[in-house]
Amino acid sequence: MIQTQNLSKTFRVHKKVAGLAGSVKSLFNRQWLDKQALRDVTLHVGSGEILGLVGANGAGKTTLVKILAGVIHPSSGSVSILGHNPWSRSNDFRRQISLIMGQKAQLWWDLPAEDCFLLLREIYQIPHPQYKQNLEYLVESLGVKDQLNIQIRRLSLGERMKMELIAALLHTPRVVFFDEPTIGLDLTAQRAIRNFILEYRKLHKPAMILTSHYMEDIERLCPRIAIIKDGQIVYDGDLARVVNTYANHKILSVEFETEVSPAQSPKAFAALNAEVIFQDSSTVRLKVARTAVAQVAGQMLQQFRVKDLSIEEEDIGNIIEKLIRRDKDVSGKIVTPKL
Amino acid sequence: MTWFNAMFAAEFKRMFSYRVDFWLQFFVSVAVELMVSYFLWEALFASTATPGVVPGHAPEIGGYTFQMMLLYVVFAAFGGRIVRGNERMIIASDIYDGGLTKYLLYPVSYLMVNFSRALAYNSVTIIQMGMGLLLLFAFYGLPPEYNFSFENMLMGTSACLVASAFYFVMYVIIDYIAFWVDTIWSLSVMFRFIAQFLSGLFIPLEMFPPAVRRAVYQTPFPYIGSEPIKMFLGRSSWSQWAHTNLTIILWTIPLFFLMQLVWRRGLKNYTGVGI
Repeated sequence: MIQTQNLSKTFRVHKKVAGLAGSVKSLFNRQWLDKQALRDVTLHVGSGEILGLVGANGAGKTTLVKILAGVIHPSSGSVSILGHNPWSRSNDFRRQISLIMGQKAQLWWDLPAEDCFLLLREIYQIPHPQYKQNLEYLVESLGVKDQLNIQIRRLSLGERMKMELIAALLHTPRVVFFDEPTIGLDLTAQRAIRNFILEYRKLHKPAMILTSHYMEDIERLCPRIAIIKDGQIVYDGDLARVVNTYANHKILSVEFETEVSPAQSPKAFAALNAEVIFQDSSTVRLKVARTAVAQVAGQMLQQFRVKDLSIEEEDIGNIIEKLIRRDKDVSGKIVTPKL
Repeated sequence: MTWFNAMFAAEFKRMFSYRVDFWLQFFVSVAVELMVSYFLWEALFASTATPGVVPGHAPEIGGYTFQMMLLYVVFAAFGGRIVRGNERMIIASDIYDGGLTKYLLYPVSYLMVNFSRALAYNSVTIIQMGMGLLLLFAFYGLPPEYNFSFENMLMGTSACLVASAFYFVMYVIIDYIAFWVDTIWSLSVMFRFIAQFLSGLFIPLEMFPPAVRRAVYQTPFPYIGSEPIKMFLGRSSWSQWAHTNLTIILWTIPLFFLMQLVWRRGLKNYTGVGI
């Protein structure tokens, strides 16, 4: 469905020296800088698959999505989506894709949502019965029936995002790009949108690429991730594999039946060979080496009167951040993690 | 092309949904323009007008009596609004702030989207202008030397609509420059000023020195202002109407291809900022 080969993109940006003198100077002598946003990106995403695109700000995630959607041209390399070259922007291609941008409204602000959807029905030439069926399903799933006749600009951020989702999926695209679909939303709205994406995927099996800074989005939605760093894919594979390889620790949370005195606890925990990451009188959270989890848990149960004990994986965000931070080697070449 | 109609209807609805703006746009901009012109021409006629050709007739400037000059100003304001359409630099701001992205994703032509918007805008303008003309004529009457006819109105309005297509293409080309530079505001204002001046929307071209007037007539501008106004004033014929429209169409065709070329080149520079 989505296939890229050695995709690269270089932007030419204006370099401006700070201050008034710099502004005046740039009027006569402008300095330009070539910024390589993507380097030799090769990817494949199949039908029904969701690929999570993970990376720091400015790593090149959005640039990649914009190229795949046919919004911007690459400097080199090739892309084939459903057999189409995205930059030819054929109507046949555009009727089969969708790009949902959490940071950019696509609907017409002055119109009520329902009018926007009617306009999209004409734009995508959706047959009336299919339009009616799709709209009913999407509106029902996202719970926005009462907001359909309200101008888009008068909706809350969460409601607007749900409307954006409806607008993007009305024509049942076979390829969907999500660029930070839950950004700025409260937890309830985030959860609703995640559940909806999963349900939609089960029903229609589109190829999806999702970028997000919220690790919960990635954890819940993407069994496979691609980590992008300085425009280069440094990892492309299972999310679980990243966790197993890079999460050297697990988090042990313990709730005590009785209060543990502050004087006694540091010594006791140090003896367990665990790092205390949070502690108050009745609870403690310990960072424990993966290999020692069972042993430390056993010792805790022996030494303290434990009310509750749980073992969690290290925060996926921290693991990926660690991976992203693995820097260049001595020669300046980017280190590709070996998993 | 049903999406075109839907887009047209959406723009039409949008304009009517802002009632205050709808009326202000008409009354404030047109009324101010007419008032300024009234006082300006009154002062000019008081100081420089030559006596009428026939003894006892009203004094004239450039072949216009004061009353006819005011009528020229009224038609220049009304016809000019139709020709110039919506000059809000929508395309330039779409390019600048990334609003263009959604239209690149939709299976429609961005140019046609803007054309439908322009047509909707023009339709509303014609409604507003028609109402305005009726009110004005009802309150102030018409100069005795002017013979109102629906034929003249039809001739002038249709020539203005053809001219608006030319102006649209010119304006789009200027907006597309936003693919290369961050702001085109001054360029756009300069174009507006030059186009209005050379087309006779500020002052009749009859007042230009003959050599300058001949030079100006080598450009398309008189055919988007002065000539349609003459049609409204009943100083034109159907053959002149055909000549005006044909001239404008012949200018529009190469500009259309230039516009397409600029679009294709510009898109390669588009970075879709804001997402």
